[in-house]
Amino acid sequence: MVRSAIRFAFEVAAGWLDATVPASTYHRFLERALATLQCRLASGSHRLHRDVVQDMVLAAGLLRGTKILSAVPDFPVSRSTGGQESASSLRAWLATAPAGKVVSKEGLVAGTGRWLTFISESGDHRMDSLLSDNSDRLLRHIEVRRHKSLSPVLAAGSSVSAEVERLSVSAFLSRYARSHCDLRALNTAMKMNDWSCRRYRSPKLTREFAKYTLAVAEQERSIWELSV
Amino acid sequence: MMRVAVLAPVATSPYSRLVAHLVSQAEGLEVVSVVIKTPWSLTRILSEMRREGGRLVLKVCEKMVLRDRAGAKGQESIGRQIERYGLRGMTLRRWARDRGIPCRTVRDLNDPDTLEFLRRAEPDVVAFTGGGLIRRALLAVPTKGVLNVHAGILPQYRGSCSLEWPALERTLDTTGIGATLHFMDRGVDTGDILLQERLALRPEDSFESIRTRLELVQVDLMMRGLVGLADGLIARQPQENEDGRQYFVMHPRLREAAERVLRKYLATLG
Repeated sequence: MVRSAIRFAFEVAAGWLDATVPASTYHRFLERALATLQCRLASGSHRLHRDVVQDMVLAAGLLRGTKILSAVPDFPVSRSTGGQESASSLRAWLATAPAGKVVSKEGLVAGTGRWLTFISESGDHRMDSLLSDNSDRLLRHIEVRRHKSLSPVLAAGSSVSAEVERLSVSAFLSRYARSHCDLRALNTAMKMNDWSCRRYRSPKLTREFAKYTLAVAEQERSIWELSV
Repeated sequence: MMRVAVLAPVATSPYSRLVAHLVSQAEGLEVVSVVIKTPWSLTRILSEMRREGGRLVLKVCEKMVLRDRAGAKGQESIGRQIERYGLRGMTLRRWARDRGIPCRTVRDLNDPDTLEFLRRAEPDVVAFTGGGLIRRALLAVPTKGVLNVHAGILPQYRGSCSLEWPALERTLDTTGIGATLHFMDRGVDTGDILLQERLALRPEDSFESIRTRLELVQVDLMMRGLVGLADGLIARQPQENEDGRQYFVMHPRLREAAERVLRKYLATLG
C-alpha cells in the first residue's frame, strides 16, 4: 500500500511536469484561429499577408471532411495557387544545401519545409533518396537538440522569419508522415507543435500564427488519417 | 578468465547489480571494474528531463525509490532474482567494495579520468547496463568491445520505445517485441549482433508487464553473450545501416494509441 501511494505521488508529479498539449486544446485552437480569419475577412477591413490567408485556407481544407472540428468555415477567397516552385527554382534551392543536407551543425537551410514538401508531392522518384535521407536527418537533429533545433536559419536574403521556417518543417513532417506512412515524422512534428503552443495562445493573424495553424492542422489531419 | 568491466546508470539499478553479480559467479568470467554514473549531476538531470519530460519522474520512482520491487504475485521478475541472490537493498557500489573490485562513481562515462580508470582494469569486455552515450575513446578500451542489450528487435527498431513502436506500426506479428545483444559502435544500436530473443506475448500483457519480462531476457542475453564470448563460441552478425530505422521517445498521444493497438492485438491471442 505504501508503494502504491508512493507510485501515485510520482505519477501526479509526472503529470504536472508533462508538457504535452491535449487534442482538445489543439481543436479549440483551430476553431478559434479559423473563426478569427473568418471574422477578419467578413469585416472587409483586413490587410493580411498573402501567406497568412494561404496557410489558413490550406489548414481549413485539411480539416474539411474529417470529424476533427464540428464545423469548418468556408472562406470566400479562392485558395492561392502556391509559391513559385519549379524545377529550376528547386535546383537553385538545392545548391544552397551544403552537400545536399538541409540541416547541420551550421543550421537549417531556408526553404526546407516548403521545398521538401514540393519534392515529396512531386512524385519524382529520383529524389526519393534525398527526401528520405533529409527527413531522417531532420528527425535526428530535432529530437536531439529539441527546443534549440533548426537554429539558426541559413537564409541569405529571405523575407521569411526563422520561426516560419521552423514551423514549415513541422508542417512538412506531418504531411510526410501521411504520404510515406512514417509515424516517426508525425511523432517529431507533434513534439515541435507542443513546444510552440504557448506562443500562439492569442489569435493574431501574423505569418507565424498562420504557419502554426497550418502545422497543427497538418498534425491533426495525419493523426486522423493514420488512425492513431 | 575473461575480464569484464560493468558500466551502470545508477548504483541502485537492479539490472546492473544482477549482471555484475552473475558475471562474478560465472565460470571463466570475472568483474574487474565497476563504473557508476552519478544521477546527481545538473547536466544529466536537465538533459534527461528535456528528453523524457514527466516520464523521467516515473523512471526515478521505479529505479531509485521503489527499486527492488518483487513484481506481480507469481510473476518472475528482476526484483525476485535480486532477492534470491541476496542483493536486496545492496547498491552496486557496496557490492563491488565487499568484493574488493575497483569501483568509481563518475559524472561522465567518457571523461579522461574515467577512461584511465577503466584502462587500468584492462577489460576484455565492457558490459554496458546503461548510463547514456559512450564515445569512441571508451569503445576502444576493451579488447573485444562494449556489449549492450537493446530492449527491441534489431535492426528494425533502433533507438527508443522499442516496445511501443512495433505496436503502433502494427508489426507485432512480423518483427515482434524482444531484445538484442549487440556490440556498441558509434551509431545508435547499429553494432554487430550476437544474440536475439523474441518475447511471446500473452493476452493479459501490458507494456509494463512486457517490460518486466523483457528485463529478465536482457539479463539472460547479456550472460549468454559473455559466456559465449569467453568460450569463443559466438559469432558476430554485422548490421547494414539501411536495414533499420532509428526511433525516438514516443509522444504521449501516440503512446496511448500504441496501448490501444496492443490491447486489440492481445485480444486476438485469447
